[in-house]
Amino acid sequence: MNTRSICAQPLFAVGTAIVFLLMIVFLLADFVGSGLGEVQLNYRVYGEAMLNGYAPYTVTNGLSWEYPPLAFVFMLVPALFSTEPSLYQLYYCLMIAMFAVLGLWLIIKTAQVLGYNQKIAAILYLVLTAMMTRFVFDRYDFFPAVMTLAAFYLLITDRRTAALTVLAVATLTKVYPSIFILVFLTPALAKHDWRQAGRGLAVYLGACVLICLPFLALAGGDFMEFVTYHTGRLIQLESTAAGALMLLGAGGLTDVWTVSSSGSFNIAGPLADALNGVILPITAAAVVAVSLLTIVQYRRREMTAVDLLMPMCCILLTFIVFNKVFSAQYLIWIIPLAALVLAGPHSARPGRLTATTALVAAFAISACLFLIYDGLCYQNPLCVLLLVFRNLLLIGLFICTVRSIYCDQTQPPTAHTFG
Amino acid sequence: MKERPVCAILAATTVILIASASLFCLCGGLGNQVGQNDLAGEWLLASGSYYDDEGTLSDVCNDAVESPLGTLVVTINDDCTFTAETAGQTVTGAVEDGEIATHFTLSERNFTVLGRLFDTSTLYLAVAAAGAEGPTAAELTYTRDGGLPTFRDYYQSLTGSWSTDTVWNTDGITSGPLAAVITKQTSGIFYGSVTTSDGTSVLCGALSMLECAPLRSGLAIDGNGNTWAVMIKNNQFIFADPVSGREAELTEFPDVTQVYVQQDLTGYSWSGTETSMTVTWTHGQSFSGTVTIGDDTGVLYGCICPAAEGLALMTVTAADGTVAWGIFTFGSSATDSCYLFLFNDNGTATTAISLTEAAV
Repeated sequence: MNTRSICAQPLFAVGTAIVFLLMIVFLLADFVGSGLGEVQLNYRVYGEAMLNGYAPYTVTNGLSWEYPPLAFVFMLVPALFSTEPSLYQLYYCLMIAMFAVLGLWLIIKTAQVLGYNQKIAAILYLVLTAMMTRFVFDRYDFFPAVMTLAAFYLLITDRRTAALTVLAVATLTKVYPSIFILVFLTPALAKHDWRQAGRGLAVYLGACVLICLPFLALAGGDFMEFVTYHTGRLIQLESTAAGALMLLGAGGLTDVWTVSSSGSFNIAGPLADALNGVILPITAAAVVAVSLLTIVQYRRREMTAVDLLMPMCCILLTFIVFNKVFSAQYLIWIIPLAALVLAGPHSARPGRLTATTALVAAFAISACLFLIYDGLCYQNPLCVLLLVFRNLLLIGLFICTVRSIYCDQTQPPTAHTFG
Repeated sequence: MKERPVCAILAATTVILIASASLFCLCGGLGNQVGQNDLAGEWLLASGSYYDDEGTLSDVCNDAVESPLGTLVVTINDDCTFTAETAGQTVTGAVEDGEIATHFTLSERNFTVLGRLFDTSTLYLAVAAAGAEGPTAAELTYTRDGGLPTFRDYYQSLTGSWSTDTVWNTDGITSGPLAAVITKQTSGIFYGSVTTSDGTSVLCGALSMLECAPLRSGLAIDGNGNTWAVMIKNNQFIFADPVSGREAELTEFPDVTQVYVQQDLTGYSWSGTETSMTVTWTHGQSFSGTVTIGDDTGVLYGCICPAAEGLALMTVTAADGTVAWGIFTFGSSATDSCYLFLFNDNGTATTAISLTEAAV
């Protein structure tokens, strides 16, 4: 099926209409609620600053240049048309909607290549996107999520150089896609084809360096602000660790309180402060461990590139559940990968329905937590319980993906399931 | 295990938890919006500490007679006024939209208090005091039950050298330099020195909490008896002297170029009954002007926090030389509306005035 035939599909046409409908609903709700979000308050300010000739990381305006360099491109583009807050918001939302449509197209194409159910994949993609509408249109996480999907699509269609280049672009838009680099090199590493692996790594790192060079030349050492800003953050309120610590706090087992810093609500206290010092190395170690196990399994089970989808899901869940920050928009990263995994050729297999229910429940809780965030900040026991339940659902999904990849030695993962 | 029962249990648990938490929060009013109706009653000191003029850190306790305030018992009354009793003296003021400011003299020491009710159970006060014993600054946290609050403030580190070559006055004329070296900091209080054209002297300061994370405001007092209004933003430490009208934006990194993307407020004015405000100059995100209330005219200085509502601290110097402290906030679009919260220096009358924008 070529591009034209996909675009002509009713599924794609309806999906595109739904995306734009979601955009209109978001804009109307935003207008009625008159609540200014990230786009108007922050992204617009960056866009306006760049429009006035100030390069990222070179100046200060009371805001931190906390994002990777290519993120600012997406903040600049709407500003080229207007810096008036409402119009900027509109152009930004149009940009997101176009990426969402691109994502839908990629989902259908990828499902087709994998032999998965395109309809289920597209529907899941749209349902999960709709559940996170508030964050999809008011954050920039959808850009790297779609880019990561594009990189995966290029990988499974045997265009490795392009795949690694797109992954580099995604990495410098939002750092998280970098966790997939070992997975992308897995086909070569598993075969001990060091030359191909080295070439792939060189392409990825080379693209990263090429993109960073102009920013580095302009900003010097301040260029690393987008890294140092995040390493200095406290444990974020919605993270797995925060949920557990707040639960302990509610039981009187530790002293934990909420603070506002680094543009988010976080927790502090004796145990939280001690954990904060080690949580980043733990996250990195967990991601590397899962990546290495993927390489081992890949070789042992004679997997192919298409079988890397489940490991990617697993690594992403590892990164999210072990991380010290788990902002609601992180769930956006999961959308394309989860939609594809759950649309696999094993829809009748045990575990699939449970996994889908758990994922939808986690999304629903995240959307709800946003509405009752005050209660979470005040560590209301019911809100804490809701958060912990959401995090347990994701931990459950993480365990399922690990089991799915590593426990069954007899079947290839594409014929395997959650649970 | 069969899937459908598991899915049903998951779905039911999710629905029950979401409904319970939502109902509890919506019905229980757990938000951090400060209402005026449920603040009445006595507030208990949960924690407090201060730096004296030698940089010694001490706790403020309910029974500590040696603390700068002695025993300060805060009560908020049904009519939205507050009463603070200390050493047999009663200080009164008002609470407006969660803000408190007052000024009083006790045992020949001049006290300035700037505070904020963070929510219906947490009150933060920043206190600066000057007298023969030298300057001192305290932070006080009050709660309804005397316990530490679940939601606490987080302060960025202020220790280090801050400086600027530019000090503005109300006419926009510059002089300078002005520098501050902060050598000690414990949460919201700090100690160090300030250097102005008058020389170098001790500096003690305290911050009160604000909801918008990148912005903090408070008070600092120097060895010459000058009380400075201070604001902390990500990269700026703003000093403003209400008496002389001096205003300076200090930075830790003077060589870093500032980019100003906020609207120029020069020429904007707001007016209300017997009250008017005019912005005479805008420098970056800071602005200054004059405010007239009745027969008194004073200086206005403030800054716009990009990620939050604009906010200004202002003073009105009355005919008798006393100073009234105020806080002024306006809408996110910077010019939509303006609310002036005025706290008289004698604590006997306060008001909140909604002002409308006049043409530029």
